Amino acid sequence: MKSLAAYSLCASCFLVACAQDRGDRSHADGGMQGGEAEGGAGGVGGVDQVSRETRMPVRRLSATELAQTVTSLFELEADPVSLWPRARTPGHFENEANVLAVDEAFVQAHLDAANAVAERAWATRAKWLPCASDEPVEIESCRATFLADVAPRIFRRPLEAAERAAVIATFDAHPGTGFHDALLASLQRLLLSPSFLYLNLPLRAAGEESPDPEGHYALAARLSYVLWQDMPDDRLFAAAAAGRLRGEISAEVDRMMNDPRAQRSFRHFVGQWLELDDLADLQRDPKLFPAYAPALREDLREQVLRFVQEALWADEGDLQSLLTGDRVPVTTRLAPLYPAETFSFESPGEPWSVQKVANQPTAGVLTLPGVLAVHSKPDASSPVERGLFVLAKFLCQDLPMPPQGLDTSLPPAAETATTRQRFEPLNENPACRGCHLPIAGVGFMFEGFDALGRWRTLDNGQPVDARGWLDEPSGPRALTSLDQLGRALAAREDVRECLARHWLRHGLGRWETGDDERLIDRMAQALAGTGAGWRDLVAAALAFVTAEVRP
Amino acid sequence: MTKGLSRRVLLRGAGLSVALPLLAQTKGARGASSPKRLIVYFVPNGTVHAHWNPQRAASDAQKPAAERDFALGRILSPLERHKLDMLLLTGIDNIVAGLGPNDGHRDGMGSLLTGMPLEPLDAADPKPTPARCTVRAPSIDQVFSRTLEAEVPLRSLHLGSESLRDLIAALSFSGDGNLIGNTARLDRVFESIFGDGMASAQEQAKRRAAQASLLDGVLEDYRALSARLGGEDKQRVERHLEAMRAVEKRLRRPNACTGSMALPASYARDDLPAFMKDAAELIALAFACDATRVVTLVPRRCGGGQSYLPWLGTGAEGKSSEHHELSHLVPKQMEPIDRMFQWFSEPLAHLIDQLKETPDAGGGSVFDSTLVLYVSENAENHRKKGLPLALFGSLGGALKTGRWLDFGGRPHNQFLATVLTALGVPTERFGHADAPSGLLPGVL
Repeated sequence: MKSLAAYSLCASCFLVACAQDRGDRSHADGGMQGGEAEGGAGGVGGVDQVSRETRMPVRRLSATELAQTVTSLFELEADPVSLWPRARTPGHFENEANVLAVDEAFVQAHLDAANAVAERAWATRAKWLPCASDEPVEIESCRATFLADVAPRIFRRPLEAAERAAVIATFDAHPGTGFHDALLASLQRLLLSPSFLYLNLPLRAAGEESPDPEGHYALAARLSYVLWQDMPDDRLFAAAAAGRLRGEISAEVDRMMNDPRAQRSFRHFVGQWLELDDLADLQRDPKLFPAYAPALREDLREQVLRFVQEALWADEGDLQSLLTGDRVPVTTRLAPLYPAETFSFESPGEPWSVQKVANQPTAGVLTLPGVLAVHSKPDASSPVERGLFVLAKFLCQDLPMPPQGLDTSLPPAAETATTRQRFEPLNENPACRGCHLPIAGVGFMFEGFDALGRWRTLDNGQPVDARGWLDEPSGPRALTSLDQLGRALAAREDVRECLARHWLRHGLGRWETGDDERLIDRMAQALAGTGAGWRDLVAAALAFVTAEVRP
Repeated sequence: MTKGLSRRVLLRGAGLSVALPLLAQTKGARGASSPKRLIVYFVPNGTVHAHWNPQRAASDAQKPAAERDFALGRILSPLERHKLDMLLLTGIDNIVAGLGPNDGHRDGMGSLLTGMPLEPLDAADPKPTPARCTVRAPSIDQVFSRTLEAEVPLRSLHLGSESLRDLIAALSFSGDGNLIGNTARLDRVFESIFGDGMASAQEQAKRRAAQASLLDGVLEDYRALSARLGGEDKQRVERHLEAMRAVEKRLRRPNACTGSMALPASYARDDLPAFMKDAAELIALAFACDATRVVTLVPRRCGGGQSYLPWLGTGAEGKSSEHHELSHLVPKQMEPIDRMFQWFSEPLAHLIDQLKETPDAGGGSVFDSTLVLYVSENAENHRKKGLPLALFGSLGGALKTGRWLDFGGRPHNQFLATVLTALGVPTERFGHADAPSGLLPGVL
């Protein structure tokens, strides 16, 4: 068995730890392939050349996508998202193929959901099935309408002959006045089908009958799920039916990005990227934080979403705004988290207003109370969690956990010690400092904020020391203010790349491989410069993502 | 009595009424004919050895007497009333976790029930952090449940206070690299076993039949799709097919039990005690109905986040009150972490009470044929030496309980092999090929 001693020292956290991981693997598995991904070498990298590799996995719809899709299909009123189970996998996006594994619980839930959706759809049928009448005479024509208009929307493409026959058979199994039963049975049957439940299904091989020989419908679905996490709308279907979608992609993408569904999808991405779901059950020690009440959770979350939307999605947004912006959306409930009299609320009708933060340091999204609170302990700030957060989400540096067998307890500290002083020994200990120096350099810079994200100048009665450092290619660079940190990050290419990586995982539904590096480069470039926002990044990605859909 | 006749069982809890099948009673053999069952009860973040380990009574001249002559440590003290049903195991180490990527907790989770280290989900992953790893070998609960497939509707139940499919909370592996997530939706689980209390038995039977034929109708579409796919895409669809077949089979069985129970759709974080109480009731009923024989129960994830136990009132001014964070101060600071670990014994003691109070169709209580495992992913801090392990229940007399056995450094692979063998799945070796084979001596 391998000795644990090999783990005990790590001079440079990433290099050594990852090299060890690889060594372990080939050791334990007798030669599993090493870390360097194959492929992706050579070539100039035009879109067509790389399209083969920008593949999207065959995966089922996520709970969010299912809810949004059936709502669009049947114009449902209440959001039916709770019909499907949702198992979270922290650090991953909900729509990654590996996260969406199907188990018995999902199969049962989807069966029940198909039934519940069909019942709800029956209630709203006047909106999506204009013929709906229970008169026997009309059933025949209703069935025709259903086949022509509804079923293809559920499958996101025309039906094959056999699929049409199956729907007809279901109707015929409920003769007479059984329209309700026939419609419900047909809906359930279609909702259970892989053509509804799965994305990125292969087009039929040449020679076989295909309902979508040119791949226009597949293209429409790809655009709508990547951009909206929802089904194609009537315009996309019309463009696909007319066979002109491929020629109109960039105009369609423009239109779709200006649709509220794109913004909804962006917010969904941001919530997962920045781990805002953890705000939903944020706990604070009531003895230490009497100001905290669960009613604050929703505002904390919404503030981050609005800020990032404004910083990256809006027309004048860019990375600079994201990481240095000092104008924040606030409500009267959030105001007590900022220095007294920072904000004024003049129009009580509108709960949200965007106002400038004063009398405290800011670094854009990084100093929003929701972000700081999520990466804190219930009773104290956490320089380790905050440092890890910035490294993982903005620099894509996922640090390994402390080695096994290492005593990770902090040495006893004086009663008067600040949080920073309690954690400083980790930067001295040779077994810890490899990882903890880069973590602390960033994490310490937020020590001016308590566990609720409020600015403070004293910690445990002592003045706060919020100086830090950031690892740069030339070595650690000393930083004295959060403003410097924000500007340093906003200027870095690897930050742009890291954001591109996160979007790729969300947009493509899988983690990047070595083959994706050119796509990541292209997206990162799109984010460079003043006024270059998220929509530029997504547009750059879509050129790759849509190129794969070819007959 | 007539087979198939129902009787109504009223257990504690408002609004609970369940009709269980009354099978032919065996002639007074208490639980002897009952099927074997397994519960894995998980305690996050290891323990505090000084307060978990039992104390040997001073007069331990003879070994057999000494095995029974011990006092429980503070952490297990809430289980005092079940001491005679307990088999305390000390001196067992996890020696395989360290063979995979490092992680303070996930490495322990992955190897806990599989005896295997983590490996990357994606072989080409340049940075296989533990969060991107899995285990491609089955956990003992799945090995055991596979032998029961034909007998029970639900192969296994995986309950947790958070619906998480991540190694910080889930510990069951199907064998092909798939980690089985926990569900926090007790209401859904109840409904899938006992049906919707609102509908009549006849309506429910009709609905089940309709759902089964719906599934049957689409199976062919999934088969055709799978035939056109390769690699991981195909694997995912194959897994889907397998799950559909299992659900269809379950729906085609007659619904053995019906009932209604007022369960909330979600529990607030502070309501963990309430969640655990409801989970215990649900497990006892599921066993009484023989709906499943394998359960894993995870009160809390391990590691950081969500590890606050406010109902204990242990948060002191300026001092950490987070269970995970405090677990890292052991053994330098052992309070109030000892109280927190002790709390995790309380829901377990209550669960065992419930099992003892729930009659088994085969006679006796469902506890008589149930083996309950107390496990944690770590020993103390991030270390894996000296795992806190205990068994509860004698499996109808097969295990001699009320004992404390110390093994002085045996691999936990042997513990896993011993548990499987006790459950009727004879196992010589479990998990990693390099781990020593054989069973823990003196347990069976």
